Amino acid sequence: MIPSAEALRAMASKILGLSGAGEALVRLGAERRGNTRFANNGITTAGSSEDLTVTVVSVFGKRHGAARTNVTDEASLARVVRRSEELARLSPADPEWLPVLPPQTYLKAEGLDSALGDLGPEARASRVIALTGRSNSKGLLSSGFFEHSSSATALASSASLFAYSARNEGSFSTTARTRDGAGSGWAGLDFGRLIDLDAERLGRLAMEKAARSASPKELPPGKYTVILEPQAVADLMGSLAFSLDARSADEGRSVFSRPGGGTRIGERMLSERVDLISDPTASGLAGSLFDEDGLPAQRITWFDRGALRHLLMSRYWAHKTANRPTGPMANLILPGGTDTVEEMIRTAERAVLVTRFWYIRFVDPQTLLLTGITRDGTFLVENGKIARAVSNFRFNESPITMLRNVEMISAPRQVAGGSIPMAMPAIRSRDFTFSSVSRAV
Amino acid sequence: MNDLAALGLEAARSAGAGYADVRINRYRNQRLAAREDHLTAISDEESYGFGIRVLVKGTWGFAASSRVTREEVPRVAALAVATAKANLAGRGEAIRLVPVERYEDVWQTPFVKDPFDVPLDRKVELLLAINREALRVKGAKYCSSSLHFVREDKSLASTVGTQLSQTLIRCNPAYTVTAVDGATGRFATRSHDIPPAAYGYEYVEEAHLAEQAGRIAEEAVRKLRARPAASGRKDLVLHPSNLWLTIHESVGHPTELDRALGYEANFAGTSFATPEKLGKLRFGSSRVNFIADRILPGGLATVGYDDDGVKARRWHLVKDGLFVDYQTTREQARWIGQTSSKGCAHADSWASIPFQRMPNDSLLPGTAARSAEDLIAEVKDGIYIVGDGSYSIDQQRYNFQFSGQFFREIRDGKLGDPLRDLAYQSNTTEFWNACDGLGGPETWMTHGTFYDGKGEPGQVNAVSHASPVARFRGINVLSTERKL
Repeated sequence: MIPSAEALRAMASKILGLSGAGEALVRLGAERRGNTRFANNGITTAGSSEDLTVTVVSVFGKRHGAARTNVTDEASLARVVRRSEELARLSPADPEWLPVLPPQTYLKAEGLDSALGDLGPEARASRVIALTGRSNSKGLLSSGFFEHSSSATALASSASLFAYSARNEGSFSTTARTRDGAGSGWAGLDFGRLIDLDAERLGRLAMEKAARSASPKELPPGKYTVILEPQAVADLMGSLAFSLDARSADEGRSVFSRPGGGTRIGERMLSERVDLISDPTASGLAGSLFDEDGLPAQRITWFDRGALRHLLMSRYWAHKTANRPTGPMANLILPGGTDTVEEMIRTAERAVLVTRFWYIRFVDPQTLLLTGITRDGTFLVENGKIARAVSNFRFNESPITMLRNVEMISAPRQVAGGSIPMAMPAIRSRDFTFSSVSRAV
Repeated sequence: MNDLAALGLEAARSAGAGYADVRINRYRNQRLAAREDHLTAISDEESYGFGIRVLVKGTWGFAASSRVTREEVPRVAALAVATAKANLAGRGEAIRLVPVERYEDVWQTPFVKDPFDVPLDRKVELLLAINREALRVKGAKYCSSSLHFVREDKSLASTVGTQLSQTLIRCNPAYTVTAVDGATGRFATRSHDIPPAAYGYEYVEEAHLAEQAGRIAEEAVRKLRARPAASGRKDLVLHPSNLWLTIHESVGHPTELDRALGYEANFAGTSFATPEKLGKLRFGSSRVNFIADRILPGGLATVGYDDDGVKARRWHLVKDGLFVDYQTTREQARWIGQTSSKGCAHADSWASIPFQRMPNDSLLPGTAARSAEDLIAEVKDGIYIVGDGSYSIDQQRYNFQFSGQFFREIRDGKLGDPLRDLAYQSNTTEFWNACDGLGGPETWMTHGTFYDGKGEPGQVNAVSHASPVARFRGINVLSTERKL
């Protein structure tokens, strides 16, 4: 069982009671994790762990220091409080420091899912065994990962703030490969309720893609119309989300900086068909309800019909620029449209269909130019049909350009592997730059 | 032996484990960060706990807890065994570990000054001095600097009878200067080239971080005003501060045996370097020799023993251009018919399952005393690259793209103007076969990272790669300048 709000409140107030600092903030994090990993149609490793961490931030005026431990006997708790005070006293004044927060009002997220919280090694293994059995019978090699966690986070400040949030999170992903290594397919999902996981379906999707992607032919690099499945869109959106920061934009070192000064807020940077929002209450997409200072997550519109509306505003930067802080980005949702992937294919003369991207890195933050590789199912679409599998490409492209060149857009769905929960649509976009061919399968 | 470790081994054995190991580890991290004229963060972190790994009828099970008590240890041992039993019906071939000697030993990173004993005010003053020196340079607008220190006190006890106690120390100084041209909206960053290393605080003191901040800031400004590079085939001369990352991605990862055999297929991918190519694949030109090394002085992956209890060593991965060996653990060695492990098992926490992680994989220098200038003198049309930048490689480690921190044109054997906005793209074996010049031992330098990721759940490994300056002919250079 993860600790209740009452249990963490009692622990936090005991720790705050030990504080001799001018101000103090206590962060508590309790977590139970379990996972099962498989490869070549067999379970390889499985494990579980439990942990409880205590972080104390002590403040004297504008001097602050933080200390963390996971040893929670009385003496160790006293020691971590003293250590944070020691660090704060030795630290020079930080002009960016703002007083610890008083009580805040938080949105309510979905409740805990006990089915996911109670999963054990047998329940994980049984889903994996069903999948690997099917893979074996199809002559394919499947690998994958099934992980779940139950966690509780609490914050308490010397200014009477108390925040608590508890979550269950799960993820399941699988890769199927042909035995000769000529084809590879992938499917995956992050989820907050066990009922949303259909491991068999994910396994089937990956296996179908593996068979269909076998023995690809090379296409020359160049600019192509692309049909990006929701996972491929999500893979590009992580870097965009990371760049939505007000301070770096104001400081002139962001794609969202306006030449000559200021930011691009108000500017139509993307297609009018693109909205981008965060909604902490969205079903199945539970993210953080508060940041590490206790600032509440809110519903925020980042882009509205292609125009930049908000950038993530920290407490300090909001204070300095007389704005309101945004709180953390709880999740990321691109509400999209009503097109379907089937229609995108059916109405395309020539396009490349991409399952997902891999190893994405910033090349140039000025234009948000990214590089990466297509992976696990890349296909040529010709005259309204999937014509054949093609070799993977390296791309050098900006998600700003991709979202500006949108031709068609589907409804969003949950995806996998993001640093925050995401729901993304499939997108058809023109002039996407593939700069070289990769032989990798 | 630690009583609790003995209790864990006994509980695992009596529950049915054929093999078990208990790691009781304490990790300390200290981080300081500054921007411009002030410190923004200072923190100390401690994480303590234990993990029990068991083999039951050739199947792994693992469980871990932060409650290091006589009550918790047997519960966690039983959970590890139950986990292994739950997986029995779904496992592939039974795991058989290759033999290992039994060791009782104590080992530590050689260091003079434990970074955790150095007064904080000296660290704070160092960061503020770096930023001050950088911001003295006209055009340098921002400077962020940080220090990160790690101390790991690790113990390992196994049913082999091994009892090990190791203390590992690492330091990671870092800073980045940003120059901004408000009128055009352009900006450029330059991160310094001083690598993280497994030494004590003396390493930080001897690195002359603040003394070099002015030069780094000047290079940020020069980069902002530099000419954009043109795409095309060029000869490259790569400094070790750039080449380490290319080695890491194109040599280190593909020679991990678990990757090559599909065990990482769902995450980072597989490898072009499959076992049937051992002794046959021409990985690089005949001057190219890569060694895997867990004893490199200052190397971030240097240890006394790995997390299987195997003694640290070094060996060739590529010899005279030929692919000859892999990185392995006790579980893996048998997969390619070897009878002993190369000692590459590592877990990044007491809560993590040990698996194969990268040793310090390094490119050996040439035997002749050749400098960067000597290599540059034989280039008509090329680029000299210092420092690591953007990096990406495909899931089988063929196609890669790397950038850098600072680029200089080479024209008719001489260094010319700085360039900006470029990356080099190649395929691994084409690239290493295009290597036609290596610097001598005096150019051999160690660089590395605290943050190499692998596995599911993701684990982080610190690793170093040493190399000489090296030259590559006819590599595809890509202009990365774009207009939105």
